[in-house]
Amino acid sequence: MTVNPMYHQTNQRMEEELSWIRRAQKDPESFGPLYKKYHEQIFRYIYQRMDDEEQAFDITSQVFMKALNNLHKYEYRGVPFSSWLYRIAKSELYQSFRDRKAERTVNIESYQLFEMIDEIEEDTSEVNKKRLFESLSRLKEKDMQLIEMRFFEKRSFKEMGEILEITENNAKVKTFRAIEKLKQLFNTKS
Amino acid sequence: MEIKKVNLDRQNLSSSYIEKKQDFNHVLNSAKMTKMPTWKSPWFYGAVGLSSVAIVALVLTENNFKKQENDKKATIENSETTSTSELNVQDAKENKNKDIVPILVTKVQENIEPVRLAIADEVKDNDSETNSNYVIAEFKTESTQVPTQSFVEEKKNYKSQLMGQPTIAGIASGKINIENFRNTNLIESNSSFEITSYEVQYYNGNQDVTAVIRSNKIPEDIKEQIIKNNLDEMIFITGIKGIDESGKIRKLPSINLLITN
Repeated sequence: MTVNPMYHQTNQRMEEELSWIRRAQKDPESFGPLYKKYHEQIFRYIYQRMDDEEQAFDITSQVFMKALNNLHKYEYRGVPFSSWLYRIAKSELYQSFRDRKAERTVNIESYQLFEMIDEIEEDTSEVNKKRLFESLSRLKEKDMQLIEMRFFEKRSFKEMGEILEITENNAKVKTFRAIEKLKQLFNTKS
Repeated sequence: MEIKKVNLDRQNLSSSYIEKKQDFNHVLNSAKMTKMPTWKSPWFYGAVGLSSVAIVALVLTENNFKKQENDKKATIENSETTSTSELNVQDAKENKNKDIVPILVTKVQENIEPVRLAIADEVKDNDSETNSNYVIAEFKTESTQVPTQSFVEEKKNYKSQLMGQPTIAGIASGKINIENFRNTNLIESNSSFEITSYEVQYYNGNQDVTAVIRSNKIPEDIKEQIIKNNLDEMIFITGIKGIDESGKIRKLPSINLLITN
């Protein structure tokens, strides 16, 4: 599993980021560097979960707008600023699903499917790939988001925990359970 | 939440394409537009709300206080007027041997139980129209309870003061016939007090004046001015001081007179 270098930062980078935040809290125009740094990450997080590209850009803008309006409430707790942005993104995204402005979509690439087949200890055949694809579509949302984060977005358990506001261990346990459910669905089909 | 769709191998967007879509100015402007105005913030409402409550409370308290004051004044005025007209010499004679007679006055504010202490004066003149007893009104602000030591002492003081009530032609408060007033030269006390000084407020034709007199006599010129300029008007004789049997100077109750034809 690779580590997302944009998320896991050195202390020096974190301090620099914090100084940007402090400046932006006083002057909103100083939010620019943070916007530039995290725009792509947040957009990809949103677009991964929906189908419409324009809507994904709109929701991304909404996320930064909300972040800017609520920046005075932000408190540094030793985790990257992006985890706070992800939480806003998650909230905005699910709000758009509730408002039926967007549809929940899962986007998978073939190589990710093969990686997952490995994970559930099955043969990487085309048949299994199709079976896994169908099993994933039947997975519940709460399990899907863990699988998505862990296997499609390659996030660490620490990062997952910070975005989902749970502990690293809890993220590990929940992900393990989600894989077990996926295995069950996979085997039921066969 | 239901997963509606699963896409396989969707075309990836390049970083440069995403970067092109960045528009910080739009975000900044939108944020400014959607920012909650000050008047909608909880702080604003908190401050305004608290101030309003404080102002309302202040106004209510002040009104209540004024109302209380007005009621008190009205009750005192009422008691003074009724005392002179309702109680006649006969009542005074009947009440002569009683120390304190409590009479309830109805027009008072809630929680204030008024008690009027009345005592009969010694009747000097036989004219029932011109003679009157006197009344002192006292208001208790609490419901009647077991009298405390201070209350008992206060009662004694009142009693002693009442005993020394000064009069003019036997009248301490109320109407006095013009002839009676003209023929009277002295301010007298109903007991062993000897009046030594007093102040009289009256209208001299030009202005209201207060004359300080160091005697128990009513000077003729003042008497004439009062008769001439103060007919049907209340005359106040205050600050009356007298010496008792033991030689102590005591302040005695005032005299309020309405000189009529």
